[in-house]
Amino acid sequence: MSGATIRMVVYDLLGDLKQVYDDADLTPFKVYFWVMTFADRLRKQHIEKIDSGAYVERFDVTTYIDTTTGRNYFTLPAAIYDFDQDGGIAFITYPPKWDLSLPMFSSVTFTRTTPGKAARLYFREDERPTPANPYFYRLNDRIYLLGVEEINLTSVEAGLKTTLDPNDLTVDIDLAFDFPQDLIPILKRQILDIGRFVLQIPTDKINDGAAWESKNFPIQKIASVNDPTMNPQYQQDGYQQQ
Amino acid sequence: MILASDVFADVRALLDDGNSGRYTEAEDLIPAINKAVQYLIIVFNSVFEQKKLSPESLRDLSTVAILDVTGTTTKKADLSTITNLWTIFGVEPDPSILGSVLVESRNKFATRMTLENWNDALADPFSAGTGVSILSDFVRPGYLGPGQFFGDGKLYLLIRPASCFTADKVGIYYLKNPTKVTVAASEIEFPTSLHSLLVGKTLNAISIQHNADSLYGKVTDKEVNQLLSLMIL
Repeated sequence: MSGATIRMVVYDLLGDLKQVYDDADLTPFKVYFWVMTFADRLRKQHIEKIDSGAYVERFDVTTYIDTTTGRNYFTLPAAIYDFDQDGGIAFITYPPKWDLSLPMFSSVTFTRTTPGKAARLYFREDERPTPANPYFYRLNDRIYLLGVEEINLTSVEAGLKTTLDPNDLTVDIDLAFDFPQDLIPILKRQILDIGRFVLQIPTDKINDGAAWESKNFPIQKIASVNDPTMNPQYQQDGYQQQ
Repeated sequence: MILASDVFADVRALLDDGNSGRYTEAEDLIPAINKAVQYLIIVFNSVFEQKKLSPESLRDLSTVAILDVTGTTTKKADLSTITNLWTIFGVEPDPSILGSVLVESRNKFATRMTLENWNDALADPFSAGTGVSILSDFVRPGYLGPGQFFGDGKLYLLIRPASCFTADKVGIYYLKNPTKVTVAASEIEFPTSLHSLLVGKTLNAISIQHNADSLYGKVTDKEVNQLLSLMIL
C-alpha cells in the first residue's frame, strides 16, 4: 500500500493548528489520537458502503475448546467493526494447509448464525452443522464454531475488517496510512473543526495566572545613602537651614 | 562580544571630568559596568518572560553541558558542575556525544514543566513527560527543575520518561552568566549592538552617587522595547 503516512497526516494537522494557536498545549500524540478516532469513523462508513476486500485483514487463528461447555471457539485477534449481522467478519475458513489436501469439507467457509437460530439447524439434515457445513456465531470477543466438534480443529483462517487502534504500540507511523486517501481531506476538515472548537474557549475562562503578571519587576530603587534629600533625619535637624 | 575598554572609553568621554582623575577604573568604571551587566540580565529576563526573545539569541552565552543521569522511571541530572548557570533553554536526552562534547543534536528536547504539570503528566498520555506507555514516536520527555530536590545541597533536573534514554546522558543547553569584568581587557559576551545601551547603563550606575532619582534598577517597558529593538539583528 502506498500513500500518505500517518506521520504526514499528524504533523500536517499539528502545523495547521499551530499556525493560529502557537502556544496551545497540543502534542503530536493528541493529534494522533484525534486522527485515529476520526479516521476510524470515516473508514467504517467507507467499508460499510463499498463492497471490497481492500480493508480485510487475514489472520491464522488458533482455536480452543471451552473447558466448561466443550464448545470450539477462537478469540478475535484484533478489534473489528461491529457491522450489522457480524459483517466485520469477512470470512472464516479452514486453514490453507487443509484446503490443499482436499477432503471435500475443507474448501468451505463457515456460515454465520446466532445461538438462537443455531438450535433449529440441527433439525434439518441439509442444514445440520457438520465439518462440511460449519457455522460460527459471535459472543463478545469470542467466535464459537459449530459442526467441527468431531474433527481435531486446531486453527482457522479468518478475514476480518479490523478497526484502527490508537493504543497499538506497534504501529509504524512512517508506513502508509491504512485509510482511503480520497477521504483525507474530509478527515482533515473534521479534525481542524474539532481542534478549533476545542481551542476557541473564551479567554475569560482561561486561568492565565494574571495575578503573577510582572511587566515591571518590583525592584527596590537603589539610592545613595549620602544623598541628604533621602534622609528625613537630616531635614528634622535643620539640615536645610545650614 | 563587547570589549570593556571600549565601553570605558565612551563612558569617560561622556563623564567629561576634565582629566580630574575623579573616576578610576577600579573604583568606578569596573563596578559600574558589572552593575550594568547585572541590570541588563534583569531586562533580558523580562524580555524572555514576555516571549519577545528567546535565550538562544545571546549566542556568545549559549552553551551545552553533557551530564550523566541516573534513575529508573525518572532520571535525575546533577547540575553542580554547571557553576555559571543563568537559565536553561533546552534539555536533550541522549544527544550524540564524543566524551563530554556534543557531536550532534538528534533527539526530542524535553519540555519544561511546573510541578503541577509534572504531577498531571504522570497519568496523562497526551502530555510531555507522560508516565504512560504510548507509541514511541510520540513520546515527548519533560523536565522539572532545577531544584534542590534531594537534600544534598545540589541542584538537580528531573527528566521523564526514562524510556527516552539509552545512554544515560543528557545535553543541557543553557545561558551562562556573562563573565565578570575584572580588567579593561575583559570581554562581555553580549552582542555588539548593545554597546551603547551598556555605556548608558554604566553611566547610570556611576550617576547613582549623584542623583537619588536615577531610574537605575527599575525595568520599564520602554527599556524592554529598547533592548528588543537592539537585539533584532
